[in-house]
Amino acid sequence: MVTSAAIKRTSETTDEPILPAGFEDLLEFIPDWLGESADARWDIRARHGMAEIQYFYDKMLVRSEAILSHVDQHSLTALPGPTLRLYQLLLALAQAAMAVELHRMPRAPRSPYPHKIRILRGPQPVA
Amino acid sequence: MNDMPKITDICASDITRMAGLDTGPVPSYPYYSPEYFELERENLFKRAWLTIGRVEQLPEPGSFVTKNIEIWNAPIVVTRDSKDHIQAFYNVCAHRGNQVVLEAKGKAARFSCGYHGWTYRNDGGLLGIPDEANFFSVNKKTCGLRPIATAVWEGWIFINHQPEPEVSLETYLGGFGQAFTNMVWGNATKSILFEAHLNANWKVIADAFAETYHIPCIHPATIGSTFANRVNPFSRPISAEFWGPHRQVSTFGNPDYAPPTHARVEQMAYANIDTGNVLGAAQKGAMEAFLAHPAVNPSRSQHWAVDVTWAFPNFQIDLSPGGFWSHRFWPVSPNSTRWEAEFHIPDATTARERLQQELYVARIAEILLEDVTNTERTQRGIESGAFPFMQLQDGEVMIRHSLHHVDKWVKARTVAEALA
Repeated sequence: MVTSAAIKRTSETTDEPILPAGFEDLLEFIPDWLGESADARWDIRARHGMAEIQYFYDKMLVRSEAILSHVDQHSLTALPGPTLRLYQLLLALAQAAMAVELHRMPRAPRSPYPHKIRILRGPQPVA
Repeated sequence: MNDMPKITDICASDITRMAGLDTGPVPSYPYYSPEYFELERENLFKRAWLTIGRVEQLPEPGSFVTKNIEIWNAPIVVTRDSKDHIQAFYNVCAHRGNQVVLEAKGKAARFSCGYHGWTYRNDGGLLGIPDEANFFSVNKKTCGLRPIATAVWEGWIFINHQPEPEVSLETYLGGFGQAFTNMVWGNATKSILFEAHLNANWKVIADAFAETYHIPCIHPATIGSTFANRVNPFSRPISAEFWGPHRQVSTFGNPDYAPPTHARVEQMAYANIDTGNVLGAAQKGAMEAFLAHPAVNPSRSQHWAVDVTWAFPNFQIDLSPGGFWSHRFWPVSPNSTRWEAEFHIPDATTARERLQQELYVARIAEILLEDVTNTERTQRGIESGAFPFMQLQDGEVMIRHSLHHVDKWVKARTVAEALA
């Protein structure tokens, strides 16, 4: 998981923005919803309450087409840092959708947390 | 409503008797008895051919992977040498038994033991012994990495604990192997890997993926409406096939499934992408050769969702309109298992495709969580001894078939007898 300290350090050394210009409205979800693997994003959603998940879902859903268009200006195998973070936020929306669209609760019914399943290898490109 | 099909038009009935199996309750003790587990270890897992994965894990000469085969109590290394030969070895130094290769995977022409520097080629041969002059005439030819019987079938790598297996892999797979000859394993090079160490017998976990009777109950939100509808509310299978100890059941899919209107992320991610159902990852159009294979949806049913194919004893391959995935159930103790599930996906070239894959993985993860979480509860119940027998219905025929053949192997004096 990217820590706020790590993002600050990156931004200080490269003058790189945390998110691409035009997506500053989503800064409130960093670092909370930023996970660097499918496994990390699964865990992030599982740790949030339903109100927080719903809030993230609603805000991200209306921005999703704009994010997809922005990301497609680059090759998926070479996303610049700000675009990568923006896209990883959108990938977390897939996790939020599990709670909002399927379970209508933060986690699968009758499932324990923490649980034992690990996604050792997720989809590529873009971890 | 009048033209709604009847369940008897869609689903085969009496498949348990068709498979030549009894229909009575089955004993519970094979799921927890330490004595039975030891018999499984010696007579089943040390005599049967076991799958460790696909050849694509070893993409080029020099590629290697290491694995831990708990039921053999053995660390192994599998290599592809410069002649493209794939071979498994005990990952054990001939000097004093240290593990030679410590990385999970990689590429190397030679391996050097970290203890005293004995060095091996990736074809197992011993290359060099530091200060060899101070040993007492070591025969280097007999001190290579010890090979394990290895064979490849349709890209799947199998190993056998017997130094000289009683039957070849071809004989072992028999009619099942023939039925799947020339299968097109689409997107085999790319996969998502799940793993869990679970407090349940390996058969409890394998059973959890071998019937669809549980789907409306355990997976109401994730895939309930994908596998059942009003005509088939309890998700009875469409058909079944049996080849010796191997087996396949074709499961029912709701042909009318579409993302519900409230599922706005699912609709957005799957816009212009048709994977047939939510369990496969590839677009249907790209899977024509795979879907045309006679072992995929063998009854050519319009109501087909997934073929659950169970290669004896601990390997399942699932075939769906969007591709294939597999499960391996590695016994650790009578009530613990390492389970791995590998799902194959195509390359994503657009942001929407990659998002769809993330949604796919997220849903699969939820389904697996619902499945395997339940296995630990089941194990505790079975182990309580409350019931010495289990009741199995016709749709659970693969579990009955599995128990029958496990028991046959456990009791057989020879592999030929077990396969007879």
